[in-house]
Amino acid sequence: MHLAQIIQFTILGLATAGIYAVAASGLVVTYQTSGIFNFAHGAMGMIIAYVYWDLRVRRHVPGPLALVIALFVVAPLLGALVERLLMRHLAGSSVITRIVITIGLLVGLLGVAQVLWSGNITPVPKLPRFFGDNVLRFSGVSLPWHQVVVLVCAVLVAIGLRIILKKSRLGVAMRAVVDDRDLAGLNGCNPARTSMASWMLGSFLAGLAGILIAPSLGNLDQATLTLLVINAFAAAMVGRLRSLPLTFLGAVILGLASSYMDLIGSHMTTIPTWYSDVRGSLPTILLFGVLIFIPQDRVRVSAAVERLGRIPRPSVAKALTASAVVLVVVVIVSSLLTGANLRALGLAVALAIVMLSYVPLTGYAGQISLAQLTFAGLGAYIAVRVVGPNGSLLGLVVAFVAAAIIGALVALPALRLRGLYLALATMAFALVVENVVFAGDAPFSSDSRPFGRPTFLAGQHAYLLFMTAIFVAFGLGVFALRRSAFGRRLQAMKDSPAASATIGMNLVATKLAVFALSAGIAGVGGYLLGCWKGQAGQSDFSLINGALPGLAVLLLTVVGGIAVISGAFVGAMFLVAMPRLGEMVPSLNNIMMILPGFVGVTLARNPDGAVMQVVDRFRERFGGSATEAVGDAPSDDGATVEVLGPEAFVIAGAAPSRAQLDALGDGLGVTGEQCGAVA
Amino acid sequence: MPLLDVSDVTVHFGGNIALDSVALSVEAGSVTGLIGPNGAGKTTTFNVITGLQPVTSGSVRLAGEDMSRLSPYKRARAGIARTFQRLESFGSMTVRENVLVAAELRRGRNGPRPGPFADALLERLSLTDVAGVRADGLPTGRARLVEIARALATRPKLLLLDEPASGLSDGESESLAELLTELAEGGLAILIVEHDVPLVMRVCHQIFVLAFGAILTSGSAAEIQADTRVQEAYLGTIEGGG
Amino acid sequence: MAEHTPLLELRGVHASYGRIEVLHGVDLSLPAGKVLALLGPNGAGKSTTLKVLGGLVPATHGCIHLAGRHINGTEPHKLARIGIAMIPEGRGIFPRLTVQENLRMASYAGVDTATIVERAFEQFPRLGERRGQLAGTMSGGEQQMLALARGLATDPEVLVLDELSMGLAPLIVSELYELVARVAATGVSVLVVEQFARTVLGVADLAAIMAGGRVTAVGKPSEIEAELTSAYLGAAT
Ligand SMILES: Nc1ncnc2c1ncn2[C@@H]1O[C@H](COP(=O)(O)OP(=O)(O)OP(=O)(O)O)[C@@H](O)[C@H]1O
Ligand SMILES: Nc1ncnc2c1ncn2[C@@H]1O[C@H](COP(=O)(O)OP(=O)(O)OP(=O)(O)O)[C@@H](O)[C@H]1O
Ligand SMILES: [Mg+2]
Ligand SMILES: [Mg+2]
Repeated sequence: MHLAQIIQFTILGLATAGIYAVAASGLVVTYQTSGIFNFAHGAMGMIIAYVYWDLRVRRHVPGPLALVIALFVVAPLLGALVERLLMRHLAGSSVITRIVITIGLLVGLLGVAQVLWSGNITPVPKLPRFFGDNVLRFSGVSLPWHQVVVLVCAVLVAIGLRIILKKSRLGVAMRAVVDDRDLAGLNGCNPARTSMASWMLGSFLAGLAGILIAPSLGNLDQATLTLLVINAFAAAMVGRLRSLPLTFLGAVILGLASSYMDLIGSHMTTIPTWYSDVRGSLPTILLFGVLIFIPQDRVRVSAAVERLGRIPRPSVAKALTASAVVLVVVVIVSSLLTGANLRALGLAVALAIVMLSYVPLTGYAGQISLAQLTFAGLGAYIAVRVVGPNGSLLGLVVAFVAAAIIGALVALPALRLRGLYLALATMAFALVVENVVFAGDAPFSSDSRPFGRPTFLAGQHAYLLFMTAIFVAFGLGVFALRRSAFGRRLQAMKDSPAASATIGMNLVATKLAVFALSAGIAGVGGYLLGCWKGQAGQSDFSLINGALPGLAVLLLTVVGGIAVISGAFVGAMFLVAMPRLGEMVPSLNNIMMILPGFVGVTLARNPDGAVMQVVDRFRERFGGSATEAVGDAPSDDGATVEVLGPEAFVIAGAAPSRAQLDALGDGLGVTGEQCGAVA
Repeated sequence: MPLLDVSDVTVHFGGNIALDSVALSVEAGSVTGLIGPNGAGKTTTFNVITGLQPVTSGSVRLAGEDMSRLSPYKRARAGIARTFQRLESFGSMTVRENVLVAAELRRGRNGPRPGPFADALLERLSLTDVAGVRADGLPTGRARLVEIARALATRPKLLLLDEPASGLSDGESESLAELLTELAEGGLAILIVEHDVPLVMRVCHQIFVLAFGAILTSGSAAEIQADTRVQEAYLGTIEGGG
Repeated sequence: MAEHTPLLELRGVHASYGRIEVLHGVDLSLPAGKVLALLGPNGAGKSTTLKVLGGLVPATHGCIHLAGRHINGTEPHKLARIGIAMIPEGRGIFPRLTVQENLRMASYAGVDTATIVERAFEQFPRLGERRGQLAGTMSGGEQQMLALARGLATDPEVLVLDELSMGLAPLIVSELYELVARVAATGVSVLVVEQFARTVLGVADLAAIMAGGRVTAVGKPSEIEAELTSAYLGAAT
């Protein structure tokens, strides 16, 4: 290796670092000023890069003017629109809602781009580099001017952001609004305008990143550009989503590490597969590593009040009725369907099982995983390797056990993580599994691993019924869990981990258990999905790129209602039905492309999901009580006492009567002794 | 031997010393007060005892057993329960479920059944009328009582109360005082942090005064009230002190 | 009472959370330069009344006047700028901002940051020692001081305090009440909700009792003290 070569690769690495730095600082700033980790940052950048390309190349607007329009008009407008339509309604919502909203936005914006700049558009979208292909040369090293521009922009952005965030009152106000919107208003600051300003800034940064990055990618590609930002997540995490200097350090580490791996690779005669796998997944591996090893904030700053979601608690009768309804509906509907429609229905049922795995994990226990579809894939993959391509019911057991064990193993390092950090760690896990495990198995990577069914379930209708029965069985299991002591423990852990620990709950064991359980359920769903399709593989279980992207699975689970068992079923139907409708009615195709993303947007208004919303509406209209979450207070034999109506609040609010105050004093002597008794 | 023995505990936050060689003890069957100015380190002391805050040095013993290395949940199982100054109720759960979940975690072979036990506690704290209400919809005062009920549901030996009377009306804090006295008579050890001085003076057998992270003095209610250092640092000379 | 024109006046105010009404016609008037103590049992609707004043909860019926001006439906930040400083119960600070940044936010109401910081640190030297600390990591009482500093340092017309003494040491509480009295003497109207009735009645010019979402009695502190016992002991039902 010559010195000049090392220098050359170092400089290339720094140029890549500049790209990561611009993208990552946008993420950090958006997070700081809006409280939202914007998964759609890349998608917004992509849209703005396309606008710039459209203006400049297609409509021949002069370069600088096009740049100004794209960055200073379109980008802020997009940001303002996103704030006005979505983010404004998210104050106080749960982490899961906030994550899912931006995932919805990502999917939606991808759809928009596909509609606006679809397939065989001419000329082929390609953004010119700044200063064309001119190269800066000094002492034997060459660097395209474009990269110089990127580096300079990165530094300017860093300085500018520092000034805005730390020195200006607006910057302080942006963070204040994230902490407590109401209080910001009481201080005299207009929260609506402030958060609109944050989103305009965030969108500008996304656009800048998009325009700077796009030329380095060759032809413009919607998905690549959208996802490139995910590579910058690691850099943002090094800065703990807070520190810009550390974010830059993260970007430099990432850029140099990639570049040096290329350098070493260029000296190898044959590059082993693991080496190229690691090189390909480097940003994700780094992300996982950073999340696990950099300690999470020790300080437990009590964050702003979160609106706690509702977890319905249906009666046994209702649960049994719902199960029967699901079975009957599937039987009737399936008997009317054939071919592609029947296949879609079966797919939906299998997916519903995967989505059901979210209910205990995220709905009850508040643990956010982006890897459920990956667990499904692992369950399917391992089961089919173990039991072979000929179908066997044993496969279901293997899928459950294998996925559960892996789920627990993933949970182990991720135990300290909460909320967003956990979501990102599971995302990194999902991407690594996809790129290394799924892509590494030949028939699986090409979606053609054969999955067989046992002979007595060979018929389509028989197997569909079988899957539905399994969904119902798991659904009832989850329902029973909800009513059990373990279910209460999960909910308590979600509401207050600190209080849970101080009443004697082993948080580690509880988290491991719920992770294992839900991964197991997902694994079974995955194996069923494989068997239903007959052949399956990577793209069925992929987080972002696949036929049924995992992000969309999460999105629609939340839309259905993350804590609602029937929500999983409804969500799965949506997910499968929408593209199917688009195929069948071509005139709807465009809408169907955008819709999946934008149904996520409805969440801003009803964070408990579609099912709960419908139930509430129904109750409002037909007089029942809307306070179901308040609960049917269970009596001990398992029967339920009638739901408390609004009057309960009035009672709660009324002054304690003399008798009550006295009772506070008298109490039961028994309890006193028990409290003091030495165990 | 005292039930709780905190010895020589020091806690640093970066450059700030929050606790400086703090030592205190609590006897079974008595109510002990921990008072002091704002920021003295009272809540930090509670966090140390319950294991939520690692110490720089020092140890915590419960009935002679060293708790220092145990995680919070093991300490809870050993018999330490607490409430929080900044409420930590399980907001999305009903009041009854808040108490029940704690009772279930502590169910022993010969202990009471969690359900009836939880109901009895609710009854005792006059929370029966709100048993089915979501905890985050309660006014502060009653939410504090829910935390106390939840702590009692773990059948503790030692109960730590962090400002239980803040947000309670005068009448309610009186009832609370009666409750504390009764619980102590039943054998429970109670350590209470509270700025409601009349309440503290009325119920506490022994009072520790913490100021700037160090124990200023300790003694009976009468001794503490007469102490001029305590008056200067904490009580002032207003009627609130009397 | 009659000789004072009310600076702030509530007439038949109703308010609800969702579909549950918790204020059923609140009447209250606050003369300029006076301290009004609003007392009442848990859940009586005191905090809700204050939230209505701060613009956080809309009044569904009734009207609110500030110096003769109709202020129903005005947004919180506008109310703050026309001089209503409301310190909410419990959470009056931005936990992830430093002490200094918290005070900087207070400058939106009109007084410049330097003045606010100076006044705050003079009143609460403890805050000066902690200026760079994240407010959320401070002790409960220190947080309360920071919250109050905003109200005291921004020259409001009306100061609205929810549970001022909550979590504060007795020494500080008595100092604060002296301060509140001094602030009122400069012409500021103060509305304060308290649980510790005894302390606040020492400085209040007027007292009102709330129960079950209504104001049930208004008068001089000495007159009210007698009613207080009965209000707390079940008059609300
Ligand atoms: N966010 C809310 N959602 C639903 N109900 C609420 C909410 N906040 C308060 N309430 C209810 O409104 C009523 C009045 O509450 P408020 O907080 O105004 O009482 P308060 O007099 O301030 O009581 P406290 O002395 O406990 O502070 C109570 O019954 C309470 O349960
Ligand atoms: N995470 C932290 N980082 C820095 N300082 C901290 C942290 N936690 C607490 N402190 C400081 O330690 C000191 C003690 O705090 P603590 O909460 O124990 O006080 P306290 O005695 O409970 O006061 P109060 O009566 O006001 O609740 C305070 O000055 C506080 O600012
Ligand atoms: Mg404290
Ligand atoms: Mg209140």
